[in-house]
Amino acid sequence: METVHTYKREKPATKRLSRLRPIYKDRHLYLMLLPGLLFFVVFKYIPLYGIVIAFQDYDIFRGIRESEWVGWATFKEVFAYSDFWVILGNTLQISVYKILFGFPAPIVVALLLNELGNRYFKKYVQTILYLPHFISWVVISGIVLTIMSPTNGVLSILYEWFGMEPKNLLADPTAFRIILVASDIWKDLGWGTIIYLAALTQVDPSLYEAATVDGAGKWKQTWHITLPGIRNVIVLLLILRIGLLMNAGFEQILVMQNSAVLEVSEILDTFVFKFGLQQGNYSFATAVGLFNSAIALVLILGAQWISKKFGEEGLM
Amino acid sequence: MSRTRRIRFSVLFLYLFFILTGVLMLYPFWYVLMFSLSDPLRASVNKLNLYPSHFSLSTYKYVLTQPFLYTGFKNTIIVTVFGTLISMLLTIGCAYPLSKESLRGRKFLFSLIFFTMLFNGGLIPTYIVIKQLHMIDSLWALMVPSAVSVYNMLIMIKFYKGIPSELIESAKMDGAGDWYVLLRIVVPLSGAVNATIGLIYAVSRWNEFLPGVLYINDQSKRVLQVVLNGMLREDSLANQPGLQDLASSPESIKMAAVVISIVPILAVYPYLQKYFVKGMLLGSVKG
Repeated sequence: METVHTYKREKPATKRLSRLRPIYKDRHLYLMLLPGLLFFVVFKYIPLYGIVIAFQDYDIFRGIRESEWVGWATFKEVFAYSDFWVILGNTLQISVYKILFGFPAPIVVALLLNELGNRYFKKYVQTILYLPHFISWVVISGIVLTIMSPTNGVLSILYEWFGMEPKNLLADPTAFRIILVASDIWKDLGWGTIIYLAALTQVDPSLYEAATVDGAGKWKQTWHITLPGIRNVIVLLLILRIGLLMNAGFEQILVMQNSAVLEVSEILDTFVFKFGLQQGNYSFATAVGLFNSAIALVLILGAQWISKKFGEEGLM
Repeated sequence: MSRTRRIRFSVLFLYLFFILTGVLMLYPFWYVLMFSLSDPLRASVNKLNLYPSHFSLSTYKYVLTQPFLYTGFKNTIIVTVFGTLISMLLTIGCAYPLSKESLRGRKFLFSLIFFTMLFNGGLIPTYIVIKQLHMIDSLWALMVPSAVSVYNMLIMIKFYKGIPSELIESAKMDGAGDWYVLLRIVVPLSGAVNATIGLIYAVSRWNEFLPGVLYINDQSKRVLQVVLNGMLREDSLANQPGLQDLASSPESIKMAAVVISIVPILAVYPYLQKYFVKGMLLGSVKG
């Protein structure tokens, strides 16, 4: 009888111990993880809790715990606010333009770079093309501002040549949108080619040899061998890019916009910053921000789902 | 005959295209440099700025003695050096344990971290947390809240996974602990990836602008990009107290400030290019 008892008492103890043993063995690894995890909890997860202020009439002096709950009232207010729809429209419009023109550009440049026979020339070109990626938007906007200046910028020379009235393009709504898209392409054109160039090296060279024997020219080779060869990468990057549709370029727009073009350049991010943080409408801006990140999340998960459907590896 | 001529023509076109693109990429920098080397009062005579008009270094003399720019530089250097250090410590600290398949709860911890890439509290809830931590108007706010980039961590994890496990196992046989393995084997073996990630962090700290606008009101804590932005724009955002007189200064002086702010980036550019491309490729191939 007694032996059975001891046997029964011992079994759960060893079981618990054997489950804890690998954790104890790796205790130093968990210790290494601790500061990083603390970082994510404090700066990423506690702000998640802060989202509740979108459902409150938040008062900085009373804090989250004491502020009054208002349910969905703030969201109703947001959707009833006519400027909100203009700002949402701007966000989508700028972003779509950036994808429309900015997405194909590095593919074309990568294809052309791939045709360059001279390795040294190619290296120099790449070195120059990658450079703007490392320059801050503040600096780029400063350069754009100077070059576009109607009085002494480079463009003013063209006005003189054609005998036109100097115009401040940065204050012109249509021109400003073009400048936003163009400067974005200028900054990351070269950078965007890197992945495509890597993908191009994976295309089987024997295909080109066979095509040459069959008498296919450069265009035909590009169309029938090169492009299909990097199709997967193009599709994957396009899907990922669409997943980031809600990012119209916060920093770029914040430093480049001016009051004359506010109407076409105010996006959700800049609005949350100005109306929320600078003017203290915390609850309203948090509701707008939550709307923004909820759509972004749906887009990213959707993009992920589609890329899995296409048989690509996806992000996760 | 006509065929070879056509090919030659297309090659010519190709080279021409890239020379033009290269000029398009470099000209703005050249323009700024030449402009900054011009006499501040007579600079706008020569609009294309292919060469300096009335060469003068007075702009640099002026800019380098401005206290605002000096403060900006000092703060940015502090943030870049210590911020990069903090980022590296936290990123390595997470990446090494998470690279071990045998770690219990690895999947859970990993998805906990990965989720922050997809969804976050947003600008205002983050601001409130930083405010409650009394980090407003402190340089800590520019170094800590954005210390870890999950993307960089993923690159690192992937690299660590590639380290031959025999090396680690044999060290453990000899009685080495996890800390010893990390500091004496893993980190020294991953010099390239450490350099890559370290440079990525350093450049993003140097160029950092938004946190400096969001969390800093104190003039003496302004970082370089914020000071520069104040100088370059004469708009609402720039009209922060103390920067008005610089915002109205001659264009060539602003350009000198721009040049000075890019010099450190240019100085490390050869390394940047080499390592960033590696990092990009490492990150783009799923392991």
